Amino acid sequence: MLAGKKNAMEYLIPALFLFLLMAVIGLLLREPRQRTAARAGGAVNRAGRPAPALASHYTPVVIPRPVLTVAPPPRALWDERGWQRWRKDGTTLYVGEYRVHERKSRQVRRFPGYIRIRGHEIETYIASPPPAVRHHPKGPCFQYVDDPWFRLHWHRPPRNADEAILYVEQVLHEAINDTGPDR
Amino acid sequence: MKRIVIAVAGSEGKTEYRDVQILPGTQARDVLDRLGLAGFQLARPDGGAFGHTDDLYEAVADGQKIYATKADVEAGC
Repeated sequence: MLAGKKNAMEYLIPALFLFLLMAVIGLLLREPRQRTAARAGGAVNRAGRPAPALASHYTPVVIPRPVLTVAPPPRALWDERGWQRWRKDGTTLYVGEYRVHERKSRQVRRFPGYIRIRGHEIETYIASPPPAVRHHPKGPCFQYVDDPWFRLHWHRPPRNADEAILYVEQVLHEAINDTGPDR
Repeated sequence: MKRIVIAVAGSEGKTEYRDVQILPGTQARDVLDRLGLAGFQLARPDGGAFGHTDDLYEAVADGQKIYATKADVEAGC
């Protein structure tokens, strides 16, 4: 009996030794592949092969571009609307166009005009105002001067060209679009 | 919310309130009161003038410039 057991042990110990040796060699062969894949930034599967990448392992670099911002400088209304200004001998002359948006035609109608300022006196002129102005409460205030010019007379005059332009455009708007508090 | 610019007519561009933010329901009078522009009215971008109780928010576009002008100017014959 004892001799049989001794025989079995003689075979078992080398077998165990061989098994352990194979296991160590297997581990040593597997590790380098994992390290290579990890260094490349990719994930590895159980077999040590790179797993399918979800995203590129190259890190995208975004460089901010300088943004050019152009902000309009503060402008007077007459300047914003494209009127021109001349000064001579204490008189300031503004020349441009009154603009009115006609709702019916969805177009902007333009009427040439000029404004002359001498001291505190403001003269406001418009060329060929639309016929609809005749039916506006302020229509009679447009007095014919010389073809095609009409002068608007003031009850409470504007203090500057901007106020004159806005007021004339308001009357034209009310006349052309048939709106306004007095209609 | 919309951002608008309020410019005072006749100030030669010297009086401009930039980055005025308005919320839905804001009326013309709300802006004028807030800016201390008593006796002024706001000119509509397409012509005419806003009534004090007109809805400003609905009528203006984001970034638009609106002129405030004295409300006492009047033609007479």
